[in-house]
Amino acid sequence: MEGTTTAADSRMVIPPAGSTTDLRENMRVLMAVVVKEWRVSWRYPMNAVMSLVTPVMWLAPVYFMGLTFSDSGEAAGFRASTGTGDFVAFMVLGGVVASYVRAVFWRMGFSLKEEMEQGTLESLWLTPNPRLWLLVGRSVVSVLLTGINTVAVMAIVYFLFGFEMAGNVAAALLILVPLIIALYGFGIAYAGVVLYVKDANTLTDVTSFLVEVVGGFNYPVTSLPRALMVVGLALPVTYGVDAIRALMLGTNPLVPVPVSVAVVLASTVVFWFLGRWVFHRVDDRVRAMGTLGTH
Amino acid sequence: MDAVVTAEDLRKRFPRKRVGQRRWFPWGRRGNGRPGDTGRSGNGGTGSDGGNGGTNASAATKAANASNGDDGDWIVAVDGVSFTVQRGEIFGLLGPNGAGKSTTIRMLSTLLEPSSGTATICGWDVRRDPMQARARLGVVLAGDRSLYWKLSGRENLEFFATLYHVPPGEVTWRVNRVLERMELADRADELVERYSTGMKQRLSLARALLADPPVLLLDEPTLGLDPQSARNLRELILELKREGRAILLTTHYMEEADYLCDRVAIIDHGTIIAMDSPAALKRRLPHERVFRLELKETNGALRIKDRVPGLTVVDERRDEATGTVHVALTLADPQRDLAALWTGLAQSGASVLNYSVQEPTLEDVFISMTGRALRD
Repeated sequence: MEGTTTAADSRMVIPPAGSTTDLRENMRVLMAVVVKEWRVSWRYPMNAVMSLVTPVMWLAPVYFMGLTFSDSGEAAGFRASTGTGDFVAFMVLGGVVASYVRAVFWRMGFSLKEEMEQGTLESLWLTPNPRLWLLVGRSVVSVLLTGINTVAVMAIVYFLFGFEMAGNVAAALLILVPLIIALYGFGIAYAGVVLYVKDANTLTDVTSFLVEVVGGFNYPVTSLPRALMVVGLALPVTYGVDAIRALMLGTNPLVPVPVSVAVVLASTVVFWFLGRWVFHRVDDRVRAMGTLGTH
Repeated sequence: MDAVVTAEDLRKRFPRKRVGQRRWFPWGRRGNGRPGDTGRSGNGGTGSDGGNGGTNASAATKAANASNGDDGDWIVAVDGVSFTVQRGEIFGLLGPNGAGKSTTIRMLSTLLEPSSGTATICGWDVRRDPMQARARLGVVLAGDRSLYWKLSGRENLEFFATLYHVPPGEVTWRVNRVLERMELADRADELVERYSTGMKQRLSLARALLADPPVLLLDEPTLGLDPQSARNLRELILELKREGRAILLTTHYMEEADYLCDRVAIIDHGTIIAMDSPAALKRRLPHERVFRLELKETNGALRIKDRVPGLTVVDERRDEATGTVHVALTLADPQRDLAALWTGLAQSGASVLNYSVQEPTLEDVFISMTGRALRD
C-alpha cells in the first residue's frame, strides 16, 4: 500500500517521492512566500514610512555634532583615525551593514515567532514543503525590504547632509552580498533559537546592541577599549564593513582586504551550516515537545 | 475498503513543565517519551525524582499518577490509540476537552512527533515520510487564527495553493472553485480580518480542499460557529464524505458526532474507551430509553435511586440558578418501574416540572462509561 496512488488521488497534487520536492517547486514556494510577505508588509504603511524616517532621525544629531568638530566639512581628527574626513559617508556605509544586522536580529529572529503569534505557523508547517525553504523565503523578503529601505535612507541622507563615495562599488557589493548571506545564515539559526526560547526580546535587544557597538559601524573599531575591540575583531561583520569602507572611501583597513574577504566567505559557509543545523534541531525539538503553537 | 488513515498504538507524552524550569539548548539529548527514556532527558526532567530510579515512595506516586495519564515528570496525552479510517468514511474522535483528540490529529498531521506507535496516511508513514503524508492531507485546525488576516480570502488561497504545489495554470481555477463551493466568492477580495468566524472556518476548509486531498483532518470544525453556520458546515462535510474522502474529525458535540460519523471512538484521558458506530455504541446502554426529568426539590433529599430497584441514573445535574435538578435515567422494566418512579418522586418531596422519554445519546454512553459528562 505504501506510496500507491489510487483513483481517488487522481485530482490531487502529489509532490515527487522522496524527502524534498524539486528545486523548481521549491523556488515557486519561495516566491509565494516572498509575495505574501511583501503584501503583508505594505498593509502596514506607517511601519514602512517610519523605517525610512527613524535612521535619519538617529543620524541627524550625530551629523550636527560632527559638524562642530569639522572645518569646512573636513574632520581632521576623524581622518587621522580612519583615513577619511567624510564622517557622514563613513557612517552611511556602516549604517548599510548595521541595517542588515538589525534586520537579521529583529525581522529574521522573530519571523517564526510572528507566524506563531498570528497562529499561521502550523498552517505553514502543514504544507508539504521543506520547512527551511519557508524560512529562506522570509529571508529573501527581509533582504529585499532592507535593501529598498537602505537605498531610500541613503538617498534621503544624501539630499539632507551630502556625502561622497568614489570607490569601487562593484567590489564593495562583492563583499556586501556574501556578508548579507552570512548574516542571514546566522539569522536562520537565531530564528530557531527564538522559536525555542520564545521570550527572547531582551536577548535580541542586548545582542543586537552589542554587535552594533563592537562592530565599528559608526566609528572605527580601533577606537574601542581593548576588551571590546577583541570582541569586535571576533565578529566577521567587522571585517566586512571595514573592507567595504576601504574599497569605497579609501579608509585604512584593519587587515588587508583579501583577508577580510576570506573571513566573510568562510563565515558564509559556517553560518549557513550552523543555521541549518540549529533550525532542524529546534524543529525536531518543538515537534517532540508540542510547543510549536505555544508562545 | 482501503484504510487510508491508520493509527497503531499511538502514544504521546509531554514533559511536565514546572514554573522556573527551562532548558535553553535544544540540541541536548532528546527525550520524547520513548520507551527507556528517563525523565532527565526532557524539558521538565530536572525534577527531584526524574529518572534516577527514585525511592519506593516516588515510584508509588508515579504509578498512581500514571493511571491518571500522568507519570510524574511526564504527562501522557495519548496512550495506545489505534484506529483506521476508510475511504468515504467519517470517523469521529469524541471526548471532553483535554482528552487527547487534538494531540492525535496533530500527530497524524506531522505537527507533533509521536512518542511511540505508528501512523500512516495513504500508506505513508507520518514519521518516515512526513512530506508525502502531508501532501495527502487537508487539515482544519481548531481556532480562526490559522489564516493571514492582512490578506484577502483569495490571496490566502492563492498563497496556500502554491504551497500545496497546485500547478500554476490551475491555481486561479481551483481557488475560484473552492471559493464558490464555500459560498465565499462574493467576499473573496476582502481582508480576512473582516470575515466572521464562520467565514474564516469556511475559508480554512477551502484551503484544506485546494489540493483535493483524499484525507481530511478536521479539529473541532464547528467550534464557535452559530447554529446555522454549523449546520451548513456539517452538510458540507457530508458532501465531502460522499466524494469518497476519508474524514477524521474531533468534536465534543455529541449530536455532531451522532449526526456525521459512521464510526466514533470515545476518547478519555488519552485512551480510546469505546469504538463503534453511534447506533452500536448507544445499544451498549443497558436500556433503550432514557427518561429525562426536570425536578424541583422541596426537601433537598432526592433519593429515588433507593426507591426504584431497576433504575440507573445516567446523568444528574443541578441548576443552581433555577434551583432545579435535571436527571437522566433508565429503567430496567419501564412498565413495572415507572409507577415506582412516580411514587418514589412523590415520597422524596420532588415535583416534576418536565418529563420526556428519549433515545439515548452518545453523551449518555460517555457518562455511563466514565461517570462524567463530556463538558466536565
